[in-house]
Amino acid sequence: MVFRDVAASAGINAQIRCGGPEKKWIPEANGSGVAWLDYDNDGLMDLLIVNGSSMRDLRLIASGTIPPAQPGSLYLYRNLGGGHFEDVTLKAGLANPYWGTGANAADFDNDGFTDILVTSIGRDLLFHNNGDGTFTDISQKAGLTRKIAWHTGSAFGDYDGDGKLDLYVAGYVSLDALDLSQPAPVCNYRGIAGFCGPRGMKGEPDILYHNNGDGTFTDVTERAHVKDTGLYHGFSVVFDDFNGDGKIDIFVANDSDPNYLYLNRGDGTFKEAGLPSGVAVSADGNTQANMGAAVGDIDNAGHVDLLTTTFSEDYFPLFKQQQPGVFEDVSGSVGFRNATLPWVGWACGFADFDNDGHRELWTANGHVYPNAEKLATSSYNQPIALFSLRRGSFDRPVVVLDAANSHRGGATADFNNDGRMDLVVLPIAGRPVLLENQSGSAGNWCGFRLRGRINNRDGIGAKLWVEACGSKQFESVRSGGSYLSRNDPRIHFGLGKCSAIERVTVEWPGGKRQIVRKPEINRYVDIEEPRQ
Amino acid sequence: MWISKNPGSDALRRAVVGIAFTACLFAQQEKLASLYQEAQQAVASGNQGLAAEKYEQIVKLAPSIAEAFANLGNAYYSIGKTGQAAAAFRRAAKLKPQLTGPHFFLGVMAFNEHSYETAAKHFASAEKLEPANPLVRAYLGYTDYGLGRYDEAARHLEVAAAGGADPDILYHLSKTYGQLAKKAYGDLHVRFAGSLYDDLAQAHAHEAAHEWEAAAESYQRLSKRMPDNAALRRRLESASAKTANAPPVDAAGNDEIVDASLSLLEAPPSGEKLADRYQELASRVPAFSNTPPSAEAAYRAAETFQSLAYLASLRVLEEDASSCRAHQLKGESLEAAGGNDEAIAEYQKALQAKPELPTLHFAIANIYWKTNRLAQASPELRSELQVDPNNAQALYELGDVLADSGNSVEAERYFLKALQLQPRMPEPHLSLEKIYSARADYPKALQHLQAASTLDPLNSTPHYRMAGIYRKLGRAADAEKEMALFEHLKSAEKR
Repeated sequence: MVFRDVAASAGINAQIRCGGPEKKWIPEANGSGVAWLDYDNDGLMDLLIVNGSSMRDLRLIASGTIPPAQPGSLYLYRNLGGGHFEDVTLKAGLANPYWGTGANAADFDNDGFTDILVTSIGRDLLFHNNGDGTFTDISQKAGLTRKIAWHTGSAFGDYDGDGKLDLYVAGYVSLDALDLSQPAPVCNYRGIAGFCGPRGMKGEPDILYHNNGDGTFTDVTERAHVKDTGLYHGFSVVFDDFNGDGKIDIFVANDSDPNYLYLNRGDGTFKEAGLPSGVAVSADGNTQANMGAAVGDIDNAGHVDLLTTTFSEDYFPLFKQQQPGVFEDVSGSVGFRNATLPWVGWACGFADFDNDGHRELWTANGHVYPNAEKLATSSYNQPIALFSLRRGSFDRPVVVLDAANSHRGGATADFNNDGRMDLVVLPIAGRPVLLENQSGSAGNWCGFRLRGRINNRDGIGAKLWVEACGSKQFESVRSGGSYLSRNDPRIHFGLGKCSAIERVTVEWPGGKRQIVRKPEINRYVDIEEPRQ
Repeated sequence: MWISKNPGSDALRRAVVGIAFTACLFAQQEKLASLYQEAQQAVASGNQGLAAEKYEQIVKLAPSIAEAFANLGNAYYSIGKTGQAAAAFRRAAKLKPQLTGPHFFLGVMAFNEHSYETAAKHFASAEKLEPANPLVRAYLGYTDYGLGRYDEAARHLEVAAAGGADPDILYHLSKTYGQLAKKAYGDLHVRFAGSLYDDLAQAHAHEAAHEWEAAAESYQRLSKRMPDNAALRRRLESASAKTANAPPVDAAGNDEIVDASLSLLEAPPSGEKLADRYQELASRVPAFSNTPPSAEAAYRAAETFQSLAYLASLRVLEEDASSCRAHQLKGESLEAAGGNDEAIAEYQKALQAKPELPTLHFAIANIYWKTNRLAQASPELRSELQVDPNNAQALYELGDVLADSGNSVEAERYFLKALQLQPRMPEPHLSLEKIYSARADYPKALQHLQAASTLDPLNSTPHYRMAGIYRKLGRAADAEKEMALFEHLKSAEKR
């Protein structure tokens, strides 16, 4: 597989910042995310980049004073085609006075135009897509919390089946736990000095918003039984059906705490089942510093598996679904455990980069301590890596990009619509990388864009099975995952040498099935939900 | 433990005892004397195999002569026939309990098999007969070290060291005092957590481990508590100078805190001064046998042990800087300071000096292990097991490397062998469970989890794993019970 960084020639020239270089405070260490979205409905994936801020501005934000938005707080790049992007941030009316963390997008009001959500240390911003290339900040009107808080990952999903996308936002550390008026406390990690946290710091609670269907949301966290009772340090959130019962569930990757898996009871409430489902802690029952979350069917078994990226001197657990809703951390038995020990992992995902019909795992890595070189086993700058699962075992990782930076948020997309999945990854500071997949021997492929008409327009929660040349692949339309980022919302399958698809089965949220026979391959096909 | 399997040819020669055949018939006496002469000649020419044959003939003719059995045991021991050697020594000890050699060698053989309790009994019998024998006292020290009885180990090793500055003995003294220091610092931290002396000890530990940033931060905090202490200011300046993120120095004053172990590091004594300083500190040790009544007393004890550990290592270097032990100590010091590859080079030099010394390959393997170079760890672990097939930890780690590479069949063999040698190790049980679970052999998997839980009742992992297996088996109630235990232990860990 061949990837080349084309960010500069494509015009992606954002300058990422995240506090100062010394990383004395925990907000300076965690980076931010990206979202791929087609905001102008031209069939090309545009790119939203969320940026951090400075400690000076963070002190103002934490004290309740909102500083003016700095240039470069957000970047919206319109995909012009031909491998070129145009910075349309100002034209689109996008700016963030807060410290941006997460990027997300969804057509929350089902008007046919993708809206934008930016989570922040400060207040989260919901930008309504006006349909003319501009956006309007409707956060306050929509009822998002006005509390100054540290939010991170987010995901959209219709948990109550009313056809409207609800929203889950993860909280990380309570700002009360950071006394920014004092010199930064120093904590010891394996003999090196670093910032303190998140262990020992009070967590910021997560929030579940119900979409009222009139452009507003209501906080239903308690009512839906998803109250963050442990005040865990939440990072990445995913809406997907994790136990195959047809109802969309919520997974939350928690940093230095057990992960949550909220199983949807179907009555507007959830039951937390992280531990009994096997995804809360590692195979040995240890809590891990979970950052990113990759969700997908890694071995074409017909249901989703799950991986979280974690801290160095620990491994990334791969939770394989063994029975409906029962996962097992199989990292040890698939030869994967030791490969990730030196890395602090962040953005991640499963995608078929070589279109051979098997998904690879990709992870973007980078330590949080600039002095990590002093650790015997790690370093600050770490690679973007790719793993292939073959005959039940992971191959040695392929380094997609050398350890030239310390990476954070990132997402996959086929930005040039050539059927090969590309990657964008943000560093903690500096220029993003846009890794164009230039693999010459990639196989055939197919892509689908779902359009809900009764269900939510983005089709989030729908499941697809592709049957071709005797094999069957599965994927679901999910929201959230990776790290503070959003992948290309279209569904992509590699087909290898197979040159025709027998049929595609779509199961829409609610269980209605739709069959698409012999769709064209090597192109993106729209699938609209039948009205009946 | 880290001594050669063979106590050395000198020890063996000393252990060979003279035999008088006065109780035998005259004709038999002649035959025995002739065989004895041939045996002695064989020993002198280094042909221990032939000596064993001759002594076998002697004990057949005169089965009540304890010395003949003792010499037979020596001959067998020196050619590696430990089973026959042990039988001969046991017979000798039974016939004449006042012979030191058989007790000593039975102890050495038990020691080599890591059977420290048994070894301690045999060495204690030898010590009763020859209380001042430095070799016996040294082995008693090594054995007590293996049993974690560091106070007794130090006492025996000090006696042994008084008989001559042997690098092996000094090395073990250094390790023993190091363990005593660790224990004393631990006690200080538990009994006087948050005290000034506890903080000071932690700062020293960071500094000794070259963790400059953490050390500077600790001294900075201490300086705020004692802004007038000049010694602290010096330490802060010293640690800060070695880190890129130097915190500002803001303390000055006159009072001093004695930080003996660190001042030794900065100005190591040599020659007579080293010997005098060592003796002076060693003379304080008996006073630390009681529980220290205050944080300061606990701190002083810990500092003294730490200083003695360091001075003993200096004595090794002074004795012979090119010795195996000197290189080993340099390696350990480099490793502690994070210089892994430099440490490996020193361990390799130590191996060149003494290829048969146990734990050197293991030390190299551990560095490869912790830096995730498993392919390189594997041959080192195998080499360690050639030198010391009874190293249960090496067996376990090699099993783990093999399991990680997917070779569960061979891994299983190593885990089982490790358990055979060290039945109280919980780790191989946990690894075996994973192997059996992967084979869906759940009864066996559960059996090993139960064993791990019994050996380490506060460990939550076995319960989490058991819950997973019970879920797979559809035993929901059992799964819930184990998960409840897991959560209980987890919350106890947090507290």
